[in-house]
Amino acid sequence: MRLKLWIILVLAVFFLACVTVNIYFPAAKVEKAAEEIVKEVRQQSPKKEQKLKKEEKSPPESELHKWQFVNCAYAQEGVLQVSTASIRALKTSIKKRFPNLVSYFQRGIIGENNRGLLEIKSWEGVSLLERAKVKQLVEAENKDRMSLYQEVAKNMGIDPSQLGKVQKIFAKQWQKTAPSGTWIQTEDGKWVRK
Amino acid sequence: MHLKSYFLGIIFPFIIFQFLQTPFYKTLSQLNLTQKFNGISYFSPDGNWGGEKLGGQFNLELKKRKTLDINLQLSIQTGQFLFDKWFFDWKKTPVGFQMHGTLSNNTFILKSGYIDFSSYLNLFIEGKTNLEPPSLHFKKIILDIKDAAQAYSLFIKQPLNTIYPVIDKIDIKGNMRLEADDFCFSPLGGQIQSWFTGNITLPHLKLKDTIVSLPLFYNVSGEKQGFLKINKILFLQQEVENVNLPLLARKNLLILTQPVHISLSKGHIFIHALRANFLPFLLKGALSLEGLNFKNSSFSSHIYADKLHFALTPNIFKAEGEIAIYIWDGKVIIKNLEIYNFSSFPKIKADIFFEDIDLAQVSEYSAFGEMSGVVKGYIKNLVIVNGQPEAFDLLIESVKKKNKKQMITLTAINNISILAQGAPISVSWFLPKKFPYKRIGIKCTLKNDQFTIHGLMKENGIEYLVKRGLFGINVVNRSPGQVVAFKDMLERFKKISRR
Repeated sequence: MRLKLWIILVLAVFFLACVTVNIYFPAAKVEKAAEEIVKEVRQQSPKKEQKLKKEEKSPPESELHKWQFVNCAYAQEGVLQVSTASIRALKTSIKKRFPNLVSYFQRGIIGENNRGLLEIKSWEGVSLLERAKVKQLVEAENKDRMSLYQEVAKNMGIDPSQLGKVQKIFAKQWQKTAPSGTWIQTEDGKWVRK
Repeated sequence: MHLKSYFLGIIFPFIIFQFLQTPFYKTLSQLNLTQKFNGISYFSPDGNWGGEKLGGQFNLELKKRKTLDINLQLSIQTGQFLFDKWFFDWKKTPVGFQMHGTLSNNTFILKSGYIDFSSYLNLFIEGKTNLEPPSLHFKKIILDIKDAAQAYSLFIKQPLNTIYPVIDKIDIKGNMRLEADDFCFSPLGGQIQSWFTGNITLPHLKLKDTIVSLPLFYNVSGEKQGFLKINKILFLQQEVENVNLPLLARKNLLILTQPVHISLSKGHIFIHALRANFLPFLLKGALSLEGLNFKNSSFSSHIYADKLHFALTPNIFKAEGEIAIYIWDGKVIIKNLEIYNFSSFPKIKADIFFEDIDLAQVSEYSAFGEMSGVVKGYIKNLVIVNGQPEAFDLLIESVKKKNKKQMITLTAINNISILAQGAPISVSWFLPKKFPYKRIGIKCTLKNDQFTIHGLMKENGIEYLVKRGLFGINVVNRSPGQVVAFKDMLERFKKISRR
C-alpha cells in the first residue's frame, strides 16, 4: 500500500514537472497595435480618422424629473485598444522626431534593424556635426521605442520575457513604413536597401 | 575604464609607444620640431571619433636619455572634432594642450598636462600611465571652469538634450573648480574637492547666489566638512532666503550634520536628515512641513507633513508618509507619492483622500457650475504621465452637514452631462436654474485609456449619480459599466472649458 502511494506521488511529481508553461502572447493583437501606432506616428493613417461625432448629437429627449445617460459604448469603435498616457507621450515624441530622421533614412545613413530599433549604417558624406546629431537622434529614438514596447507589453499583459517578440512585430511595421532608400535588416540578419 | 579617460590616458601614450617602434626614433637622440598644420583629417575606423580640417601649430621636443623626455605644445584654432556625441568647433572655441612627461618601458609619467578650452575651462593633470597592464593614476587633477554656462552647454546640453529633454530646462551660471588628489581609474577612486559659485535653474526651482564646497571620498576612506549655501531660492513663485546646509563627507557618503529650518510662505520646512550615498546614488531624508500657505485669488491652502521620509535614486523619488493640505474648508491627504522617469516623461503616482470639502468654494474656483454642500472621497492609484492621467479610481460622495444646503445649478448639471455623454441636456424653459439634491455619489475609473462611470446609489435596479431633493433632476446611469475612450473624455473636458 505504502509502495503504491510512493509510485503515485513520484508519477505526480514527474507529470507536474513535465507540464509545459505556455506564456500568453497575443500576436494578432500586438500586430494590430503595432500597425496602428506606427502608422499614426508616421502619419499614414487617413482611414482611421473616424471621429466619433455621434456624441455631438443631443441626448434622447430629456425628462423633467429623470434624465438618463445614453449608452456611450460606441466610444470604443475605431479607437486604438492599446493606449495609455505613457504610450501617447511616447508616440508624440517619436512622431515629432520622425521628420528629422527622414533624410538620414533616405541617404542610407541609418537603418531599421529586425529588433525594432535604429542602427547607424554608414557615415559616408556625413559631417562631424551631423554625426553628433544623428547619434543623439538614434539614441533618443531607440530609448523611446524600447519604452514603447515595454508599455505596450505591460498594457496587454505580456510577460517581459516576451518583449523580443513584440520588438520583432514592431520591426516589420517600422520597415514597412520606412522611406525608400532606408536600410532594412531582414529576419535572417542581412541588410538590404528599400 | 571610462571612454574619455581611456582616450586621454591610453590612446595618447599608445601613439607615442607606436612612435618609439619606428626606425626614425631608434636613430634619434634629440628632436625639436615646430610645425604649423592645416586641413588635417582623421577618423577612427568606426567613424565614431575623429577630427576634420584641423589647423593649428605644434611644438615637440624629444630628448632621449635613459628615458625619453617629451615636451609638447599643441594649439588648434580651426577644424572640428567629434568624440561620440561630443562635437567641438575649434574655430569657435580654440583649444590648447601642453604636456611634459617622461617615457620608459611601458610607463608614461605625466609631469604636467594642461588643456585650455578657450579660457572658459582649464584642466591640469599630473600622473602616471601604464600601457601593460593598462592603468591610469592621477597624482593631481584640477578642473577650473570659469564659465559654467558655456561648459554646461558644450559638454552636457548640446550632446545630450535630445536624449534627455529635461536638460534643456536646467541652466547653470557661475564658476566651478574641482580638485582631485591621488585619483585612480583602475580601480576607480580618490578624494575630490569641488567648489561652485553661481545660479542654478531647475524646473520650477531657482537657486540664486549659491555657494557650494563639497568634498567627496570616492571609494577611499576619509572625513571632511562641506556646505551648501543658497542666498535665495525661488520655488513656485515663493522666495526663501539664506539657506545653509552643513555637510559631512565620508567614504561614498554625504551627510547633513544638523537639522535645517527654512521659513517659506508663512510656514516652515524642517529638514531633519539628509544622507546621500554615491555607489549607487541614493539620497534619503526626512522633512516636516508646517503651515505652508499657498494662495491665489480663488483659494488658500495650508500644507502640513510630519516627518515625511523620502528616497531619491537617479530615476525614482518615493515619499513615505502623509502630506495634508487644508483647503476649501476641508482636508486633502496625499499618500504614497512616487515620481518616476525625470529625464523624459515624468510619471507621478499617488493616493489622494479628501473630506469635508465645501463644494461651493470648489465650484467657484473651477467654474464648473455652482454647487453647494460637502463632499468626501478619494482618488486611489492615481498615475499622471507627462501631465495627463494614466489611471485612477475616483470616488466622490456628498456628506450631509447641518447648515449646509445641498444645491446644484443647471450649468453644473449640463457640465456633468457633457462629461458623461458628450452633450448638454436640452432643457425645458420652465425648469428652475438651481435645484436641491439629496445625494451625489459617483465612482469613476480610468485604466488603459478607458473611463467607466458608476452611480453609488442603487434603487430598484437603477443606478443614480445624483438623487434629486424635493424637486429637480435625478441623474441616472442607464448603462452601468459603459466605457468611454480617453480621447473622447478629453474632448468633453475641452467642451466644458469652452463654455
